[in-house]
Amino acid sequence: MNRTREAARSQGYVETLFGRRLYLPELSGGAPARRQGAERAAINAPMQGTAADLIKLAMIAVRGWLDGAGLKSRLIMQVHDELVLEVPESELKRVRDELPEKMCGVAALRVPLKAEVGVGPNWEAAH
Amino acid sequence: MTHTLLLVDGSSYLYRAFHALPDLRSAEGFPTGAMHGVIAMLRKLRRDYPSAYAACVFDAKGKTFRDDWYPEYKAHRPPMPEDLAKQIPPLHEAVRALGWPLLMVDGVEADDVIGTLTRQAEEAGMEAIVSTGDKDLAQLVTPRVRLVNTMTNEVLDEAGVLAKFGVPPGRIVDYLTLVGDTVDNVPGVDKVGPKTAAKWIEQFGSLDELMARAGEVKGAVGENLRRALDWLPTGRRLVTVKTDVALDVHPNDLSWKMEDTAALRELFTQYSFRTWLKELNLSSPTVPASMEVENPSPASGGGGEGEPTGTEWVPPPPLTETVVHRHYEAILDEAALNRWMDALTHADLVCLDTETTSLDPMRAKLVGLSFSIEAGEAAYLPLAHHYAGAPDQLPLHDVLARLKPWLEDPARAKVGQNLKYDWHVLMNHGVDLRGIAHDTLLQSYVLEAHERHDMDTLAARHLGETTIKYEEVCGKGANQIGFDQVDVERATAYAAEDADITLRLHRALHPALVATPRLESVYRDMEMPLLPILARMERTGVKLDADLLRRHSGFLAGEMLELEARAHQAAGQPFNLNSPKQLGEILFGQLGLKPRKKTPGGAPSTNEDALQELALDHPLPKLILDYRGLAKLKSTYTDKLPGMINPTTGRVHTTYSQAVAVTGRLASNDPNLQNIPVRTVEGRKIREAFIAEPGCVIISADYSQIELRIMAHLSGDAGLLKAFHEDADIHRATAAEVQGVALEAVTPDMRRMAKAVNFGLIYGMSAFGLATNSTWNVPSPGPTSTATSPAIPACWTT
Repeated sequence: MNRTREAARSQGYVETLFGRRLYLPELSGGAPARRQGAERAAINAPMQGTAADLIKLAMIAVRGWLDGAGLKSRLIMQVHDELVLEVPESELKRVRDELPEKMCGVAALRVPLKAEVGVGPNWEAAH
Repeated sequence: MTHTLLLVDGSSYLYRAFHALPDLRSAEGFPTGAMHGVIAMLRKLRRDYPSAYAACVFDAKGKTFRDDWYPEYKAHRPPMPEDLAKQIPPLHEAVRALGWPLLMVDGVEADDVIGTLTRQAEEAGMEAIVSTGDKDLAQLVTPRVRLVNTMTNEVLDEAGVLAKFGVPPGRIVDYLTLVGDTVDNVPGVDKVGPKTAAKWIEQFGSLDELMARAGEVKGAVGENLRRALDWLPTGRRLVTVKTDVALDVHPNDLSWKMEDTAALRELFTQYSFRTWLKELNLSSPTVPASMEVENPSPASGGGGEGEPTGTEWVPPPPLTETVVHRHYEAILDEAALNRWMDALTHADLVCLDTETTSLDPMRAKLVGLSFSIEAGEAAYLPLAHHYAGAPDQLPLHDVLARLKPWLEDPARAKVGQNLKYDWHVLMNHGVDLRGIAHDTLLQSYVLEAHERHDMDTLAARHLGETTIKYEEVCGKGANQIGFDQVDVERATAYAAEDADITLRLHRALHPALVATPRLESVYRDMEMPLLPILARMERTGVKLDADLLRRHSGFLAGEMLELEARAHQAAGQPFNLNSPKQLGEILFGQLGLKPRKKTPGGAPSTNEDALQELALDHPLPKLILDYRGLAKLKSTYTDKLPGMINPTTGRVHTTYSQAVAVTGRLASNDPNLQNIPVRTVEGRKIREAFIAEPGCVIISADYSQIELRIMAHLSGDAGLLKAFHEDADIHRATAAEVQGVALEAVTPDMRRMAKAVNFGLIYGMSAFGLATNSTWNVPSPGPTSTATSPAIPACWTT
């Protein structure tokens, strides 16, 4: 972890798994309290940033799948680590069954990815 | 490539800055206004007019050849004010430290040095830009020499001189001779001003001709002219700038010097130029970042605390060395449209921008389109400008019908700045923009997520160009007019510039991405494919149950009333919960609570953090916090969402910001979906209002424990990897491993603490913080094995 901090400090940024750079300008200057905040961010940023990369890849995969399969279901929201779709009842079973594997197939990590699916008449019920 | 010589008439700016700026003083009371003005101007010039060569020229002390010709020359000028005179030596130091070659030549004026250098530059095949506030130098303008006045942002080329003075540059000397120069005490012809002088020169062609035929001029001015005939040749010699001064430097000797940051730091400190000092500390490229850490500069003590220093990535200076010559046109007739359509269909990449009636992408209507294919070449196609006297414009419907095949052709590559917006605008007119190949907004975001990405900032940062601001064209606030009200000529200057600048930004930013393959991959494989997906999601929108939201607003209002009553009871008296002043009086006066924090103004703070702390001492602060939380939900969501429903679609259309969050995540506005509370009852009620169309359902898919999984991957920790592979309870597994007990032996307390450890790791808590927070002796719960996957950032390896 110290190495992370050191490398982040000398480069001024950390990287996500996919190479996105997250800059932390406060790492190398300013008051100690701010710097400690930035050091914590240096540890968290690769994880949060990689999660952002994954959900973006998931959107691309899901949209590609919906279009390719000629489905009428539509992506309607992206919030935090969640994708929300509006799905005709005729496509419900297929989308519920196949959506998680599309989301989990976007990257091969050393641990499996997992997506939990919920269904309902409104967002809260599905959430 | 043509080189540019940038010349500054330092003396003319010195006086102007001294008189124009307020009486600035350093901390020690030393006057600094003129220094400040000139240094600011030099910095701006260097940024706005990239050049290979430059000089800042000042008048030398003492007499010049003009005093010999005419003893009264500048005779009635008062001596230089002492407060100005004493700024000159440190100013000269600063000019040199900034890297500008500084010239002062005895016996001639700064103008003569500048005149000579412009001619030499032309002979050497260079172009020259002269920055001055002095109109006399208009006589130096040629096709290769232009004037800029940084105080008025006026640029004078040959056409500009003619437009401003009514005579071409070659006749400016004649013009000045007739008009005279009261500042320099050079008389002209009595009662002859700019208009008469220009009229005569137009009529007679030159001063010589006018003098030869002076008898033809009638009236009192004719008399005055004839009376001045003896004087005019002397006047002409005085106003003529010399272009053959024997100089011991040539333009080729005037390349930029290294900036002397140590000297600048000393000067800026001594004369209290704090902003520049801060910038210097931010971007000083010669001092390695690590040194900045170990040797804090003198500024970091005095400057605001926590100012970032050192390691920020400083973009390379603009690559374009010469000023790009601009040629912008308005497309107003069939011929021009045909010409541009031909160019568009043959170009490899076209920069495209729309001008519209609204910032709301779903409601914006097209006012015009701009295109650029080559740097400096752009066109604006006005389609819906409506104002008295607006020129005839090509019919919008017909033009779009003709452009549609090109706009919708995925094989015709387009670039723009935030094309997601332009896609919506065109969709509002039934055109589905395809071939979105590049977006400079996303390029900048991938390169430098933490910086600003608006076009004006990018233009200054990467191209050294100052762009026309929207407010300059449309005004601000209540007086702002719609773009359709903007004069077509002005609109062309603005809109064509946008397209031109965006194309040039693409040419600067895209190579920077390509140079770092992983960044290019983020841009090409992630951000660009996402753009049309987000656009489509926004356009699809979500159906909302407005009645439910209204009922929920009523429910929240009831809860707030109840909290209010309880707050009054806790306070022992009624008061306005929305008034921080009254709340402060109750908390710190009536109840006698000890203030924990202060506002910047010195009053005891009642903000969220302060109330959180005060809640330990009394029940009232917690009630206020709850009340504020509900009020925020009510005003941001339940009251507002029904009004956000688009009347045409009956749905709400959020806008995703793809280039805002430094974390790489998406942000959303109008409404902000990311801020709806996840776990509270009130948050649930809001999400209940997001419904499906009849015959449809909502499906939500959520990545489970995504950050923990990423941490497991990055760290390679065997226990975490195993637990995830077995789909085990991860916190229980951590507890078992850390405590050294079997899975079944993990108590709820152990699991709770393990969960805190896991999330503590995600949020970067130090091992020390973990130990204190979890009251454990933590035997290194962090990453334990060396990462081997090439995908792992090197920074993570322990």
